[in-house]
Amino acid sequence: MRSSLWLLALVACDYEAPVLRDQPPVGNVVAGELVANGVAVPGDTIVLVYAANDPGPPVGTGSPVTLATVPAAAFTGEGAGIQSAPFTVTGLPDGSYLVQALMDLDGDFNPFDISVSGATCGDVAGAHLADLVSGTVAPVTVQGGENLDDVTVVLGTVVPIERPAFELPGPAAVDRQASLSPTTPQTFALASTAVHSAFGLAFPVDLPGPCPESPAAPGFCDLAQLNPCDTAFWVHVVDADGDGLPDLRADLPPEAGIPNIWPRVYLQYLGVPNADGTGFDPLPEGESWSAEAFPFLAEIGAFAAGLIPAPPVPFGPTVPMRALSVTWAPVAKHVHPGGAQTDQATGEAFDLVDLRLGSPLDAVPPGAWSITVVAESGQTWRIPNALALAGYTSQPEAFDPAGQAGVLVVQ
Amino acid sequence: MRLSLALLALLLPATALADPKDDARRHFGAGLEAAQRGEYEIALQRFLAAQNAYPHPATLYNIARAYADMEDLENALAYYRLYQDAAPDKAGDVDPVIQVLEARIGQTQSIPTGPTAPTTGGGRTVVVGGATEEELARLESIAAELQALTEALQTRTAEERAIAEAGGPTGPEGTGPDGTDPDRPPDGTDPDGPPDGTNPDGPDGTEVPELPDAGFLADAYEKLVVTASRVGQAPLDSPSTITVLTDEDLRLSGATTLPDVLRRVVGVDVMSLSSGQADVSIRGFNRELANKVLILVDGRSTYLDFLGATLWASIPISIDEIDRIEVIRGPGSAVYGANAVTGVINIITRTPGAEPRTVFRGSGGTSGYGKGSITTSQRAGRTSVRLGAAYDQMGRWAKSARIQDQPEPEQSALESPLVDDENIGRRVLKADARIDRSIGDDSYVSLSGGLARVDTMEFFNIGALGDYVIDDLQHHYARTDIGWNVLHFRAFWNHDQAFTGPYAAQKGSRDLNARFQSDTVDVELEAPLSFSTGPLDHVLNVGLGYRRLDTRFSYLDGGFEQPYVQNHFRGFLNEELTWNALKVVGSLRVDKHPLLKLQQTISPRAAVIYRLFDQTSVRATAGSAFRQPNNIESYMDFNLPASADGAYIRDFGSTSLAPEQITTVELGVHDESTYFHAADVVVYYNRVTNLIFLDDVTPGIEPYDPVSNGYQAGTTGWINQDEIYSGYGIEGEVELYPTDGLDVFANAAVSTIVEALPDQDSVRDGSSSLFKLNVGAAYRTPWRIDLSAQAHFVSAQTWRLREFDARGNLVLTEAPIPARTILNARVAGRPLADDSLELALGVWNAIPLGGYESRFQEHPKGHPIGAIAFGEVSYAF
Repeated sequence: MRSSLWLLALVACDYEAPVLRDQPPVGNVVAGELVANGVAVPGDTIVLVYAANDPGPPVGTGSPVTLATVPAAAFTGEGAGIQSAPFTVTGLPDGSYLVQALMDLDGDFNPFDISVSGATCGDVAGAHLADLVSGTVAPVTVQGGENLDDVTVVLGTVVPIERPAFELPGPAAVDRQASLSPTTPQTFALASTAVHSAFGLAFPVDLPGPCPESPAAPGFCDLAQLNPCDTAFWVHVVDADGDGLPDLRADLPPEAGIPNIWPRVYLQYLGVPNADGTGFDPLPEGESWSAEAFPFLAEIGAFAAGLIPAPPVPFGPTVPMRALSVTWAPVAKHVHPGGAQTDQATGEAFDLVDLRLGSPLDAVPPGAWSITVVAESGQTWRIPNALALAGYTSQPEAFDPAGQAGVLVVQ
Repeated sequence: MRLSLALLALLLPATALADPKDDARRHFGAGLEAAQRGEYEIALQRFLAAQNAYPHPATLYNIARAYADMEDLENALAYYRLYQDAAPDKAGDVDPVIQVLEARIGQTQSIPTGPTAPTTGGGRTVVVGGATEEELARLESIAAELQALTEALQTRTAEERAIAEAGGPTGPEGTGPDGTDPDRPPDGTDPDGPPDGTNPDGPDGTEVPELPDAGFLADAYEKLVVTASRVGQAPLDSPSTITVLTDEDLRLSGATTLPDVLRRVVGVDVMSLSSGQADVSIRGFNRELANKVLILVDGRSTYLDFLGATLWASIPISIDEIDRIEVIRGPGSAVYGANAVTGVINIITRTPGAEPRTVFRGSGGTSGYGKGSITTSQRAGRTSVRLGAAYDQMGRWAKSARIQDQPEPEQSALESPLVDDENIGRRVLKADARIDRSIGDDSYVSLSGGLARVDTMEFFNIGALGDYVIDDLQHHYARTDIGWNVLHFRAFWNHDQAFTGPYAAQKGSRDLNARFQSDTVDVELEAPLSFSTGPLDHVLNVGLGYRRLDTRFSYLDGGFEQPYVQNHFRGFLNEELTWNALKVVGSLRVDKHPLLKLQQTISPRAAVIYRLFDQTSVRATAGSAFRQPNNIESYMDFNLPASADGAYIRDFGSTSLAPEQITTVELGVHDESTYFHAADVVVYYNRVTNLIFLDDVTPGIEPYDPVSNGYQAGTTGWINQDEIYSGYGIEGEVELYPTDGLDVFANAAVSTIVEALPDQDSVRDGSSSLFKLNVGAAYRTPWRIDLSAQAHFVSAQTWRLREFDARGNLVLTEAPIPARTILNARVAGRPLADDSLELALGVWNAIPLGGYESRFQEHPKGHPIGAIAFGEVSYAF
């Protein structure tokens, strides 16, 4: 017995804990350097990670899997030359990812509300690239609790325009609803707007605009007085093959005949407004409806007729507009509570929808729908948003918070 | 000399007993019954067996009395003298008897010095007159131990008297070895003493004095508890439902930690999330870092107010220092103030010098279990000392696959900066000391202190914080108790400091490591008074106290550099009114808390106890208790991590929280009508309100926060829930002592907790089991082998985890935990004749011996717990 005791004592000293089974997979780590070129004073930088098979705007409709922040103070370097800072993103499931970054030079970014979750005019964007020449975003792959620590993200692209802030036009909040039929295609208008608000206690949202209207072409910006940082809808009819006709959307079935026009307009079902008007009766957990509307080509015809010159911006022959008409056919994607027809693993923070997963319907559900506009620059705006909530300080002469409360109502 | 040696043999236990007091009580009771029938020889054998099992002065008295009734005057005289030695304060009571005996013996022969006839005790033949030289030599070699045992009896008697009359040398909250009724001498003797008299019929026909007829002493082994009312009382008279675990229960349990010992107590929920953490609750409401049971060590609170929990691993005592554990089920704030919501667990240590001995103990086993301790208890005159030191370690039940399994550590996404050895879940080094000195007949001073250094303690934090570790925890305490007449003063200082943080963090993630420091100073003055008014007997206990809390914690507003100081004041009284078989108890305590309204901290208790029969009582008790918001709930300002590195949820404490409150009504029956059993049945109703939880997340964004290195997704805070929780249950327990060496226990609890908003349908709280069953037995064989086994069954649970989803929203996720059974067994042998050496083998939680697949979780976040097969060696001298 005594020998057994000594043996047990030795066992106690030489113990190795068993590996925990059935544990959640250990997240991977992607780390490396942020390299900024030509930025005099770095700002706080947000690293956004997208699933490679569901990229974010404008390339795709995905939302970030996760994000990390790098404070401005972490950058080291010399003046306007190359400055760098380490970054780390943790908790990534096994898979391939696109790593993008946004340097928030004006300090008005926050990822948790659409009204302040994107790059504003003058911010610097970047990504982990396959090569600097093509600018192709390169995926990184991690698995098995890996610590991938040699990823370089180049920050160098200044975002030249402002986000497409808009509202549903109308004199009063009660009219900020565009009523639609659940079965018939309908056209509704969006109006570009300025945003001036103190978000929360001390968080400014200051988007000048909209752009001054062209006296010759109502609905279009006056290019002579245009400030690129005014809010506007920067419309781009893509004609990559130069045949004089709009290309068709490559991400949609060709038989749909949808021309490739920026910006995109997406709709997300919010539910039936509740009795007290404070919100919407929620859908069952896991269920969602989403759809897309399309810019109305008749207005773009004015640009095509040469009435409006093309501005010199990095996004090709784009046209800044104050107003945008869009058409929504009753086509929507329905995600069932059980998760069918969805790749929800990539998230849906921006309420975007991939119509490849959708199916035509006889009718869309009545109720309220949110509207999201995605510019070709990847900048987005959505109504309704938190700027419509009470308590935010506004400047009535430039911005009506009620305009950010608008919803599309299907009756 | 021969007589003394024979008595010495009686006093030495032949075996290390499972619970010798139970056997002694049974033999003593049978002896009394035989004496009442006039069967004095049978009575004598029973009293000798009782004395053999567990020495007691009253048993010596009864042995003497039985000899006298059998006209064996020499042995009667010898045992009366032993009684005088063992109970010097009562020596004068039997002087008249001794005088008579001496007179009568003197008429026939010379006065003897010891027993002259063979006797037996506990089935063992006792050597008496006519012993061989070899036998005498052997007996003489242990003669010194007779003296030690006699001193031990004297010590115990003195200590018990002190406790009975003054709440104990270690404080009025029940710290003595037994605790006794202040109205009753500890040996149960008649305070008036035996009457004198003469007997005209001497053995030689001459007129000799008559032996006083004082009868037999009624109860030498009455179970006494002190936690329910701060004064010693029988469980039959306790106003609260109480269970007592003895030192032998602990030793034979096969459990490796104190919480595991508590699994056998009916109504107690023990949940092990890691090998370093076990959470204990009573009648439901268990959770990570359980906060509704007050854990005391000799009446000293171990509750960490800043955290709202007790860290069991840091309690600086070893198992050999524990005399017993008293478990109160039901609210205890009327006696102990805040945080005694659903119960009180009072760990009562051995009185220094009561049983002079030194014990070495070492254990080792599977799952990284190792333990070693040395304790010594000595007495010199009026001064007694107890010293203890121990080491305790336990391996982790499980570890992440990724921390060390990568070929190159730098390739792993995880790191554990606070952990030295990722195979260890608990590693503790601890020591304590206590010195007592009695001053005169009614005064004493006691000084004690201890420290524990917890190198590693893994635990699972509340909410989304998950698997955490405490590193370099240093727990110190110092304490003094002073008794003078009816006044008792107690003061203690608890100090805790440590680092804590995630056990394993992803490289480059936000640093959540934190530091805390907590200092608690508590002083109390108490005066227990006993008096009578007409037919009514009163025990009135009044007291005043003050507590100062000084805490710092990195997660609180202002960080570690910001101290939070609270001054608490209290006053209490407890009146127990006895009229014949009826006892009425009224208790009231008022606590002044700086953040709470006075009306929120008034804790009443009322109870009626009626003795249906001599050893059967019924009780009806109603009372309330509260849990004060801890510092995290009151002062927190911390950015809780969200699912993304760059996001956080800001968590605010609130200084306007109401305390959690409970009101309980219970009806119980306690029965000890035979010497072969003890049984208790209770039904109860709990109404719990104002439970403190994290609120839902309110969207609210702020600019980038460089400290948290992220963006605020929203805010949350601690709130009082509107839900009302109603708990109903019935608990039954029985202990059987059918024959020498065999103890059997069984208990079961059926309970449910439902929650409901006012005027809404109620929903059952699935985190509490509907049914729990504990059974066990210990058998000490006649061959110096002890066997024991226990089984603990807990029915299935469904927990609702509160976590943040990918967007920072607070979500409730239901997670089932299947029913589980924990089986423990232990076998021990003592190869040496003097029982000084014990070798034991045991297993705790035997089912997972079948492999990892047979492990089970006790909480959805916890590790699957494994088995511990262990060996143990102890040597006592």
